[in-house]
Amino acid sequence: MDERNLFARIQASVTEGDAEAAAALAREALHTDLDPLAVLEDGFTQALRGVGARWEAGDLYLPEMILAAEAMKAAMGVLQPEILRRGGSRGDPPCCVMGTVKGDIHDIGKSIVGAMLEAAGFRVVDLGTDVATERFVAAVREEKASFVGLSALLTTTMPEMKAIVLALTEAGLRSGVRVVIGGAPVTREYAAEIGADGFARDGLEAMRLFQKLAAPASASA
Amino acid sequence: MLPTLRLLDAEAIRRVHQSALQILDCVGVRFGSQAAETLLQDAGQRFDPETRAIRIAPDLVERCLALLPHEVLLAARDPARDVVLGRGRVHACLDGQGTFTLDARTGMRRPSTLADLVEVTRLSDALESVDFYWASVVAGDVPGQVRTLAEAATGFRHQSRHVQHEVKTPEHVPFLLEMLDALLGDRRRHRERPLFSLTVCPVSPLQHEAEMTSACIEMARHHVPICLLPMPLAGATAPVTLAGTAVQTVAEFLSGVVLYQLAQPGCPMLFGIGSTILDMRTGLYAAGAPELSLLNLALTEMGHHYGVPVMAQGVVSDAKTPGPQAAWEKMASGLTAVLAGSDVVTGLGLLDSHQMLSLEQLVIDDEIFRGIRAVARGFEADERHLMLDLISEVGIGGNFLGKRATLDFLKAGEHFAPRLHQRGSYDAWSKRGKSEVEAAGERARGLLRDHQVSPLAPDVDKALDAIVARAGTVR
Repeated sequence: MDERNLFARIQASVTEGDAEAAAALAREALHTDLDPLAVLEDGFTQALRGVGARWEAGDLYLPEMILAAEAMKAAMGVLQPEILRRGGSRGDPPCCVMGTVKGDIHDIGKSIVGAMLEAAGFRVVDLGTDVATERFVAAVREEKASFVGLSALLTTTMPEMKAIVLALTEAGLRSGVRVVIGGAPVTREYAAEIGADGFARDGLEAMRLFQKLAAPASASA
Repeated sequence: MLPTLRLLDAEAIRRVHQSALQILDCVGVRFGSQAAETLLQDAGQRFDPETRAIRIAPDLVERCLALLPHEVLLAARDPARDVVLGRGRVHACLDGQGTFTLDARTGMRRPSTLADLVEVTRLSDALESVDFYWASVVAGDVPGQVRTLAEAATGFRHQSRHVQHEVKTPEHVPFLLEMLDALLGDRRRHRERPLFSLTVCPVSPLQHEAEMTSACIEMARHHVPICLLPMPLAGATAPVTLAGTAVQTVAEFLSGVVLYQLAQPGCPMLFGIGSTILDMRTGLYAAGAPELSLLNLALTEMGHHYGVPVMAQGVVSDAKTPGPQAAWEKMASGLTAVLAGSDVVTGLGLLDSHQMLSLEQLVIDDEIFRGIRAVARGFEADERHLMLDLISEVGIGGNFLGKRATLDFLKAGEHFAPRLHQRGSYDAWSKRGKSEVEAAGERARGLLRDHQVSPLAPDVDKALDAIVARAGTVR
């Protein structure tokens, strides 16, 4: 088996957003002498980083990025159990719990940010829309999340964000998570006012912000 | 003779309609509102209690379409400013509802306030092209519990045209009805004098907002016209193709037609068109996209096929500041919507994808819209307008300037007269020494200083304040 050829095909499967091919290539890699962790890191993750960079440069459409992340996820599903079985750890990816707040059923903004975070290597737990405060708190606890992403498109539902920050504090979880908020009417000032850790205007800004917030944590880990 | 743009032929209109019916029949919609679900179930429609999806049979859609009034009166507290939609004339309204203001003093964007809303409302009252109110920006400094009510009261107080706004929760309904009592003496007069109408946006794909829907049902029963305004984004909350997005928009609109005609047969409705694309480089809403114009065009034709007045987004832009991008996007979207025959175009005064108010831009948009209306007016080619006698009289090598008929026609508006745009010589322009945007700002400030809004009767004025205050004490 030509190793370089395999990596080239992995690269192509991610770039083309072909989840089926990505999973097949991951299975194929497991039948070689290659270390599955190296296949994941140097193959799939590397390829996805390239896609991300090209999207940032404005060379790709958003669905290309999302499909590439899907391909990466499919490969991870194949490789991860084997990596764990061999006693390796990929260093658990940081988990982000996200959702659109109670009373608001606008989904798309939050979903775009979620997809981009997955592409950036986060584990995303998407609670959907119209999510009650308690569900955010419970999910942060159960998933051992280190990030919370909150979305609201309506000025009338924005106050729910404040309630969630408060509830996380009351549950003793606030110091363990970074809370980032977004949505058309949301501002940086509002994030500061309610004690959130950050605000992002669009998917790209969100991805950069999460990466920045995650950086010190992973450096110290 | 009116210039018109067409996109769909009869066969395409039939296909879009049949496809929308098929979606409602096979996929359905979710209202989330119990009041809505009861109405639809009582009409024999299939309800899935698990997903709360309601599938609507084509024959019910057709029956409800037949109930739609073809003309819609939007009454004003100054009856001279009443508007009747559906008679072929194009109207413009403010845009709703931004959450930011481009502060002319600092040049910076900041969250919008009640003072901003009052300013833009008073300015709009002075402008010729605005035909009715829509709360341009959110009064962000007013407590959330009464904000929408305060925004409606601002419309009634600080301008004298029709008021279009939103209702976000059933708890606001009694207070809005009390406002109608105060304004009309009795809410029952609203049937003849509909001073207030509602916009409501489905949440694509194929959902309605529960609270808003419940509130709108109640308001419709009090003869409040409903503008149903789907805003699907091609590629994200609707199919990537414009045809697919058009079909889904129609399906969402028709689901609203069924709901509100069941709630109040003959309920006056508008087809609001908010469809556009998601910008695939940024993942954000794109207002200035050429695709928006094509969707406006096709969906205006669908609306008119149903015999319902259409409110299209035109004069819209993604630009962050008044300037070339704002000007071309607003002209392109506005002109297409108007030539498509839209009954109303929205967008005046907002930038940044309907999110940010600029008073300068409102004055510029007034100019743009008046220019568009001048094109849309077309011209007559009858004997009086062909002026053969005059051409013979002046003959070869003369001129028409000193002729009485020339002056008469000019006074009647034969030529568009710009207020803001600078024609004339380079020297005159260079002497003026200010940009068009600065000139627009000057005009805005001048109008705000000098314009008097026809005041509400003092007791009505007080009553509106009292209603908003009382709503704030409800727990």
